[in-house]
Order: sequence, then C-alpha cells, then structure tokens
Amino acid sequence: MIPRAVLALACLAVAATGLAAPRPGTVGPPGKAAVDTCLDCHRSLDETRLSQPAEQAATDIHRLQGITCAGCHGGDPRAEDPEAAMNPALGFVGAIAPTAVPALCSSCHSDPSFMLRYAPNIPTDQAAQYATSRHGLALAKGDTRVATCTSCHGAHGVLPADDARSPVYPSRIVATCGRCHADAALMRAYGISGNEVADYQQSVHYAALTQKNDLSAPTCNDCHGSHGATPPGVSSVSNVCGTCHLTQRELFDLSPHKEAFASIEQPACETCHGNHAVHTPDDTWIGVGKDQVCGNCHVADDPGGQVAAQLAARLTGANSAIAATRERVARAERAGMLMDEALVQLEEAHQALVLARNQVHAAALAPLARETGSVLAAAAKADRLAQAAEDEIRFRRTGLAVSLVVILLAAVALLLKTRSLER
Amino acid sequence: MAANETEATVGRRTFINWLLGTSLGATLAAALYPMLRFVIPPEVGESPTNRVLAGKLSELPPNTGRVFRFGAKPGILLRTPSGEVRAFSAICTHLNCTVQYRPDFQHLWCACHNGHYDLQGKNIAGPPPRPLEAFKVDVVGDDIFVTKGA
Repeated sequence: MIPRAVLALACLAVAATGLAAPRPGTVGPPGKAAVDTCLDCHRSLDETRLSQPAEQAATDIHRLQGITCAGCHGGDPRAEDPEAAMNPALGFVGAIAPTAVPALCSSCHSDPSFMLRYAPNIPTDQAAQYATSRHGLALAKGDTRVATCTSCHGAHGVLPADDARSPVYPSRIVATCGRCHADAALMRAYGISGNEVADYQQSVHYAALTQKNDLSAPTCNDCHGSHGATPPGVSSVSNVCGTCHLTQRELFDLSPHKEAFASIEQPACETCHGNHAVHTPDDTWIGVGKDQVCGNCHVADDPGGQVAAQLAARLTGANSAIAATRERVARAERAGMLMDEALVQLEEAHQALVLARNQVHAAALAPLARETGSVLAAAAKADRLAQAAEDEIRFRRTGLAVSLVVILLAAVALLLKTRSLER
Repeated sequence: MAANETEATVGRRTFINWLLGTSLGATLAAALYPMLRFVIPPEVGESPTNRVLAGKLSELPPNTGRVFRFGAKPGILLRTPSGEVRAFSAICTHLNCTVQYRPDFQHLWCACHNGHYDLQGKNIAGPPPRPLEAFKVDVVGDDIFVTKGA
C-alpha cells in the first residue's frame, strides 16, 4: 500500500505544476549539452533572479546532459519569441513551487528506464525515500520551510554528487544541512536545538573528514539518511554506529549493558560517546569519578563501579608501560641504535592495547585483562631490548673514552720520542 | 754521575719506546675493531631497505598470506585463490594494527576493529579510511622479493 503522505505529496506536486515527465523536445540525447533560447535571453536580463539561473546553468549536469530549461519549467526551448518560449499552453510554469519540486525531479529520477540513458549508476528511489523522511512528511502537510531536492542539490547549477564542488559532497554536507539546522530560531519550531552542527564540528568524525580528508568518516547523512532523513531511534543507534564500528557493537551486544540500557531506554553508543560531538575516546573516561562515563549509572561500591575501576587500572598500567618503554626506545634511537625489533614489540603492545580498549565494550574484566597482559609482555620485551641497547651504548662510550686516552698517550709518547731523538 | 745519567736516559728511552709501542698498538686496535665489527654482520636486525626477501613461493599456497618485515614495519604477502602473489603494507589505515589474510573471507582483515580490505588492498568494510599501500612483487625462482615505493 502506498503511504498516504506519498500520495498527498504527489497529488500536491502534480496539481501545482501540471508536469509529470519531460515533454518531447525538451530533453536532448544524453552527453550533448542542451542548446535553448531561454539561456540566450536570460543571461542578458538585469534582474539577478532571472539572469543568475542562466549563468549557473553553464556547469549544470542536466544542461550538459541535454536537458533544456523547458524540461523543468515547460515552454518551448527553441522559440526565439519570449511569448512563444514561455507559452503556458506548452506547459510553461515559471518558478517551481517548493511543494512541486520532489514530484518534478522524480518525474525523471524515479524512472529507471529514463535514468538508464543518462546516469545508469544512480538509484531511482530517492523520491520514495524522501516521502518517508521528516522533510517529506512535513512538506506533504504543506510546510514549505523544509528541505526539498533543490535545497540540498541546488536548482540550476546542479553538480553530480561525487563532484567535490557539489553541496552534497561528503565534506560539504554539514554546511549544506547547517544552512537550516544551525539556525536555532528556525529549528526551535521543530523541537531541535540547532546546536547539532556546532557539536558535530567538534567531533572526531568531522576532524577525520576535514583534516584527514577521510571521505568515509560519517557526516550528517551517514547516520540520518540522505533522502529518507530521519533521526535514528534509540533501538537503531547501535546499528548506525555499528555500520563502521562492528567489533565494538558485537562486544556491546554481548555485554550486560545492552539489556540494561534498553530497559531504561538509553541508546547504546551515544550514552557514553555522545551523538553529534563524538570525541576521541580516552581511557580516563572509564570510572565513576567526575567526568567519567560509568558514573552516570554506577557508584564506586556497586559491582559495576568495581569492574570499571579494575578496567581503568588495567588500561592505565598498560598505557604507562607502553609510554615508558617508548620513551626508553626513543632515547636509544636518538643515541644512534637500531631499535627495529623493539619497535616491532611496541607495535604488538599497541595492537594489544587497541584490542583491550575494544573489550571495554564487553564490560568484563577477564578478556580485557588477557589483552593488557599481552601489552605488558610485549612492552617488557621491548624494554629488555632497550636495556640491551643502553648497555651497548655504555660499552661503546667506555670504549671511545679508552681509545681517546690511548691516542693521547700515543701522542705524548711520540712527542717524548721526538725530543729524545733530537738530543 | 755520568753512569747514573746514562742509566736514567736508557730507562727513560725504554719507557718511551714501551709507551709508544703499546699506545700505537692500542690506537691501531681501536681503529681496526670498528672495521671488524662492520665487516662481521651485527646481531641486531638490518636497517630498513626498499627491497626485502619476503618469502618463498613454495611456502605460500593459494589463498594464504604471511606477514613479513620491512625493517620495523610489517608487510603482508598474499597469494590469491587464483595463485597471484601480491604484497601490501600490513599496517591498517585505521589505527595502525597489523592486518592478516583470512582464507575464509578470501581477503585481508584487521582484527582490531573488523576492517576488511579486498585483494587489491582496497578498504571495503569497517572503519579503515584508506587502502593499504601496495608493494611491487618480483618472483625470482622460488624467492619472492618485495619492493617498497616502486
């Protein structure tokens, strides 16, 4: 059954535009830029609102693929006479109402056989998804402040989503969503704080995206969806985070926290990590003290608080061992020693520490203690190698001192010998 | 007096000759010892090079992999199910853990955060943000040489 909202949206759009599919003659063959008279006139108009679309069309993917202005606005793209070009009898509608935009775009983008000719690699279910989104549902109720297709993709200078200049390119999405979602006054009407964008911009995900250029780092649409944008519910947060953080999710699902969180309607991951302002996790978070996440539910004396204290102690010990050994190995390296084997051991210790940190999600001491034991063992090996290197350095320095003394003595002896021969 | 002076002179010369001989000998030894240590291979591992003997073809059946070392850094040598030999850096691009070959997945996998890489080293699932660095492989007889940065 087609949802009522989708039907309402479609009816609203069709009534507003009268457009269902591009009329013959308004769409050219793919791969050949459209030539139409609309652009010739509009470029020379004084009113920016009328000339700007024609200028933006220069790089528009639709125009470059043969879609004329009339493909969306109706009219005759070949007529020289403005009246004939903008003839309502030929479907000319001028500016498209926001409520009509999804249906207009989907008249092509939801038609698989049409899209196959132009862009066979992009999906054709965007309109169906949009209709289920918060944006689509609100638009169906007549709320024209919500985002439609053009709000994110642009109207006249539309670029492919994989073009780095596109407003829906991963590194630009937060700014695109932020045009509305960072507006606290606008968001208040929807019960949204408006801080989400600022929070996200402090997150490790945003840093990965913008500083490391890691395009796989999640931005708004990766958790909320693109066309079907909606906030993930309490039960689906772990699924969203678990898309990338699979191991942590699996361990969490086996932990006593899964059921406990569900019983008090707390979302899995964000209870400890936050949602938009997800910071790089730190071992100091574990515990029941001030600013420590376990203290949200546990106290020092309860079993959970005691386990947290032990987890924290093990991790602190492992961290300290690695830090001290790394410093010792670095000192030996600075002294000119080749410390490859010790560095390999330190890498092993680091890897075991990463695995130990994963085990925090299981909230059990034994598996974490096993991994921290591996950390300590590898760090101890590296430490012994660093000790051997330090011994070697001492031996070499002692040898150098002895050599210098001997050389000095040789010089003195030579001097004395020279004098004795001169006599 | 003259005899005493002669004896003292002879004693001093003997001492100077002894001092000269032993100190020159020791100086020579101090110069030769590092040379000898240089000629005889040291006990510590070799310094990082751009080309290493990573393994033997006969010890790497199809659908297996093994980790080898480029100095202090791990690399991974794998043989695809179809028999092709490939090599990559074994350092996961997420948090620097060492990746391994999983015969059941038939691709590379990182145990730390369940990151997956295909047989081209491309990150295909999990948190790794980038592909693994690919190395050049030369098979000479039974020896597999891997070259970095080629």
